[in-house]
Amino acid sequence: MKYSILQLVFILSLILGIQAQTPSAQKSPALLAGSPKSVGLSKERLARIDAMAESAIEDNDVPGVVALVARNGKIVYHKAFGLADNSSGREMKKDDIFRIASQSKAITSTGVMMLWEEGLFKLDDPVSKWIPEFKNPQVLNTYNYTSGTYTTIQADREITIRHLLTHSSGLGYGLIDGDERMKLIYNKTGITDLFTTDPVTIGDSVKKLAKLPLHFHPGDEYRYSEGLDVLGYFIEVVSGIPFDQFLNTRLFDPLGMDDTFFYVPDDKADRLVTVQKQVDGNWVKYTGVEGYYDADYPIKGAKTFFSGGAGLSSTVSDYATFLQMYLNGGELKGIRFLSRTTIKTIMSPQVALNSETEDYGLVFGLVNEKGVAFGGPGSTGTFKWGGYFNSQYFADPNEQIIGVIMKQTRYQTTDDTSWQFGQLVFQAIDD
Amino acid sequence: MIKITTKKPTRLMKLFSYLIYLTLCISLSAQTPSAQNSTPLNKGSVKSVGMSVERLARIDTMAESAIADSDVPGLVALVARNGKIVYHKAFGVADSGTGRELKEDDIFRIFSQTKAITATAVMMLWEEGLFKLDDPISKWIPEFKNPQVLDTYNYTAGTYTTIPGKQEITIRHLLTHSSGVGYGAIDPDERIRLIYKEAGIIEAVTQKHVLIADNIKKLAKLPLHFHPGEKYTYSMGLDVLGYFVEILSGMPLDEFFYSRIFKPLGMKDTYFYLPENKVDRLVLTHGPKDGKWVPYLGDGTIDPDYAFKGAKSLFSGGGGLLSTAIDYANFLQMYLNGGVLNGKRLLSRTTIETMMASRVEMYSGSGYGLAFSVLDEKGVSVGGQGSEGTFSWGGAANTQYFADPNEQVIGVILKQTFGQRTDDTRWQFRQLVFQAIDD
Repeated sequence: MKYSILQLVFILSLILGIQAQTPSAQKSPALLAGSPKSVGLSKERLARIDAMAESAIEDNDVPGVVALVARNGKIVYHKAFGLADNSSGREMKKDDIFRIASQSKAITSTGVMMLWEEGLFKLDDPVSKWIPEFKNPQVLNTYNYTSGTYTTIQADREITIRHLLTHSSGLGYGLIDGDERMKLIYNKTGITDLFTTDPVTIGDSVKKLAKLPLHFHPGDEYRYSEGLDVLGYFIEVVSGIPFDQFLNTRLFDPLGMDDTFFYVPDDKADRLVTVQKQVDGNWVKYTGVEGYYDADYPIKGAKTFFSGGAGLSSTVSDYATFLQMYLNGGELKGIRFLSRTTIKTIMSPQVALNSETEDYGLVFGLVNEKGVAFGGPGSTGTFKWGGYFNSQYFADPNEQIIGVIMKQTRYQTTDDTSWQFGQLVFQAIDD
Repeated sequence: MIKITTKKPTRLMKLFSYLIYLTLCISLSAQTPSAQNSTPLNKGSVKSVGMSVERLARIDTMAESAIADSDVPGLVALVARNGKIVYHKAFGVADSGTGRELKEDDIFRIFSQTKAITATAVMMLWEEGLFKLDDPISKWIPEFKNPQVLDTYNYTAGTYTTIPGKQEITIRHLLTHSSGVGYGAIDPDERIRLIYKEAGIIEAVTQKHVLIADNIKKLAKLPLHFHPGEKYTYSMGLDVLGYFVEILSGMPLDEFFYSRIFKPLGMKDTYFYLPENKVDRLVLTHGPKDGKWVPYLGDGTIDPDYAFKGAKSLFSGGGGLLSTAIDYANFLQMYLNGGVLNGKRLLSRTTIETMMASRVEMYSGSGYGLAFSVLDEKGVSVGGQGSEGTFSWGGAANTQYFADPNEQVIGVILKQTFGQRTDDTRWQFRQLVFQAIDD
């Protein structure tokens, strides 16, 4: 009996499936286009997103935008507006690739929870069990700005996996840390905070990071951090495979996220949207932060650093597919990535965000009851986050709605689309 | 019936009244028939109950690696959903000396898993209207009158002073470990350990000829940790209630358990003391020595041979039973069915609601109800323990169980070890069962 390549690939994926993601009795289809009416949305109201995008571009709030809306597993809105690169005049396309930065975090956390489902660790285990450099954590006490030296006090407890998932470890965020002292300490130590074109690995950076002082005693408060970078390396240690391969085999390939990478392959490089900033009323290329990163990192340099906190590039439809897996209770296309029972825990508030309207679960920010009263977006339990280069997403399990909007800008403070989009998606519900 | 006896009864009337009499006898003295007719647990396919074969297989991996790593010498694990057993396997050895392989139906010392069964017995009698949960226990065991709380202890003389308890110990206090009663050799407070030892209290098991009546009457005179009702502290409360069941029912606890719980539920391998023909199915208790498992011979508190040797007279409601994974799963299934199994109603659904709702604060994520620890919303956010309302407990020789009424899932994992701290299967099993849900 002869097998076609496709059949062989299928059989192989079944064999791999036993130790990785597993087959499921549920068979939700991949995201497909559908009509707004068939999923209880108003075409006329969805058209308000067109008006929003057009006026944002006209007002120089953004050079271009791609937006996607899905409901009940059907894509009912998927459009590109404006330019991907103003200097060349290249028009934005629906399948263009964006640096999703912190939208990487939910993907990394999902990887962590998949390994958790294999019983390999408890969420309250100390991370030092796998990365011994985290033993005996220290909390920053005093800092001498002249010499760059500091004193610490012994932390009350060790950093756990849960602390890292929920940004309550006390770890800082270097370049984007609000505390000047932390920024200096991280820079001096040579931590790779976000992106790089240098030949560094996450193992190198995380092991150095592990020795640095913390903002506070682990578990004491919420503070946005490099916790997900640590967990990317944790995944390498626990699974025994490089983090990029782990994500490819366990998430991107089975989900069909064909355009999601740490580093964009050459044949897709022309689909990468340029990061732009406003200079005297014009959009110009944003090149990065001197001494920190080159904004061309997805297509340039050593391509060895797999940042679980910020490293990925993706498309709106790939990211929507990832979110749809969550809305399906952890399954897509007959493959189970997470059990519904695990998602229940993931969506349980774990720590309070610096906001009364949102909490943070194990993977996402969560709109709470007060958030609904405040005006959303979405119903209680809507999960959401965004990225450093101006991209946003949300998914509402109650309404079975997904919204992803991607732009690629820095230093833009007047971009109203970041909140307008959510508002316009939910007002389009017509059932 | 009195009217009937005034006339000369017809044969039909005689038969009829006999039937009524028979029904009354059965129903007053035992479990009652039910219109619900849930079958005892039987095997079903994993897929038919919305679970994943591939994900359940992770339990195999867990067990095999735990044995390879010498975390446990062997284990039996059972998973049931919607009344169907979808996983029931044995791994490793029952006896490291002889190398006897562990079998699925092997018998384990379940120790504190006894407590939920005793609590069930108490609630069955409560359903007959024989007492209120807030009645003082001294009404039936007068030795508990005028409880005293430990004040000072003199380590040299072994003497102590007490202050009068602010209130009497109630049945509810005893069910929820909030009576202030201690736990002898396993008590966290050294003073209580010494006082219990001095008084000769048996914590759970012994080969000596002791009756629970003797043990409990002595215990009743000892000082308490705190004023009854103040907080949760694990205790011999269920031992007290075992004796209470004897008093109320007028029969020895082993007979009560057998006729009212084990027989109707088909728990054919659950005993205080094993009959001779089942002794070879008893799993040996093991302890670690130099990285290996060796037979555990006891530490003075627990002599593991009590199960089949000695006087066999003490029926400890807190820790005396021996059982199998399937027997215990059937007991839990009765709870998931709302109090009924095999057409026999042991408890009303409304009683179970009370048992799960009346909780004392234990630790973050769980409270202790009238028979089990019950998971709350916080516990769900911790992860890997089931949905809100999942009830669970375990036993001193390293056995664990849980049941989730929401998901209709049961998990029982039985090992037989003492002194082992690195056994991850304790939490892994539960985590792996819930992640296997695929609906």
